[in-house]
Amino acid sequence: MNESNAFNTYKKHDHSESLKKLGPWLDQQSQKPNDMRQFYKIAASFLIAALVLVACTVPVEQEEEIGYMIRGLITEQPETGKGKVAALSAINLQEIQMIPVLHEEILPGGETTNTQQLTEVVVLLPEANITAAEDKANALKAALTFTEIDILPIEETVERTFFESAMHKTFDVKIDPKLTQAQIAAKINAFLHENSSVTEKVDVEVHEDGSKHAVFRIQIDEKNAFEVKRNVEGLYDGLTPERHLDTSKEEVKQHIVKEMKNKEN
Amino acid sequence: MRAQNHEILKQSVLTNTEFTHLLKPIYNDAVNYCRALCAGQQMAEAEEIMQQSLLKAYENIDSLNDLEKFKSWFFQIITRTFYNAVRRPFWKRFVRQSEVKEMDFQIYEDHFFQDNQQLMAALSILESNERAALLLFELGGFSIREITAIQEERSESTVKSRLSRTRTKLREIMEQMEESGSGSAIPASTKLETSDLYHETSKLINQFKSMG
Repeated sequence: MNESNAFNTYKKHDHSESLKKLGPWLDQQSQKPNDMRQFYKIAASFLIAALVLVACTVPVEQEEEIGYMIRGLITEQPETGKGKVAALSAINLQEIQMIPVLHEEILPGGETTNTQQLTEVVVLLPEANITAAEDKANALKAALTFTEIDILPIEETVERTFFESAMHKTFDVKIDPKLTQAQIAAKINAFLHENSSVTEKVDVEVHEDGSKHAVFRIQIDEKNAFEVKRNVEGLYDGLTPERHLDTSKEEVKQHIVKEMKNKEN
Repeated sequence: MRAQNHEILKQSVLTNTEFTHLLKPIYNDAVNYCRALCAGQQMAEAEEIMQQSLLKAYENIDSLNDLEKFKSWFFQIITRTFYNAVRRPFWKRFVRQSEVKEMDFQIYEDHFFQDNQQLMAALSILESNERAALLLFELGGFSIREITAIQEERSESTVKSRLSRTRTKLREIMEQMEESGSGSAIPASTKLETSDLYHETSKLINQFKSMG
């Protein structure tokens, strides 16, 4: 049998019997599965949304830099070192610690050699500003003879929800160092007035080292006034919108008066 | 007539009676085409592909703009469903795609498979796209242009040469079978020596391919 004959024979098969049962079968097959598919789509949407919400509220630990430590070893004696640092405008003598130490090098065999009398220099910077830390380290390097110097980050473990953590990383807005004094003052005032009942205005001063400080004055009575100064680079934490300044001006005054009285006593 | 058909489609989804009426003139050819397309596979697979195609066509009839093209549209659905089944991941072949409810609806009867053993065996040796092209021409009665569209090929010459090559190949395979005298896909000289059916089948298919 050639292929044409085979196809002709094959084509003669009649399937009309099954066609009679097709209509009811189609109805039965097409209705319920469609409803089910729709149901599954809605259920899946809810499930995914719920999973995303749950995932966003899972607490996660995050390491956050809260400052820097400059640590190094100098060959000068502590007194000599302090004398040199005193001449530097970038470094406040009170924020530097100098301790004499014995420095030893450990050889591969475990033996120690080359024991030296050195001075350990430690400067703690309570601001997470790497540029300021590098500037101070460079100023120290120029003034002192370091055998080694490191800038080490000081980190704090903060627990946030996953969502907050993501938002914190995304919107980590800090005060732009290029802003003028007036712009910074306006920004801080706007924040204070929006989030508290404090009506006083903040001024911004520039120190000799170039750092900008927000100055906040509260007049307690005719004679007494209270002044708070804070470096604007560290204001980020205080300016986060989730920290509302609930304390009213009167409460602040009372608190300050109380503290002053305690000091007098 | 054409405008009337278009109006029917625009109105809403067809009822099962209207769909069956539309399908009736081409039903036999479509069922035969599907079975021949699934040559070399179990009856259940052909049954499933045909049922899925019918269901897809019924549910998506509103996407057809011109009822005149119903035949080529339906044959294209069968062809695509077959290709999808062939390309289906290995593990999915053991899972039924849709849950078919128990109902007295069976397209293929057992004797149908016994009557056409030689043709089926010969077709099973062909590549799936070669088989589809030949069956669309022989059983569907489509022109080369229509087959090009159904198989989603770019040029008609590809389909033309595919058809010519496949027809020659099929003829040679069938002649070999005639010569062997058995009338089956297995030449008389070849005997199963082991119980490894899969291995032996692969060997046979390779032998046939080398003949072509």
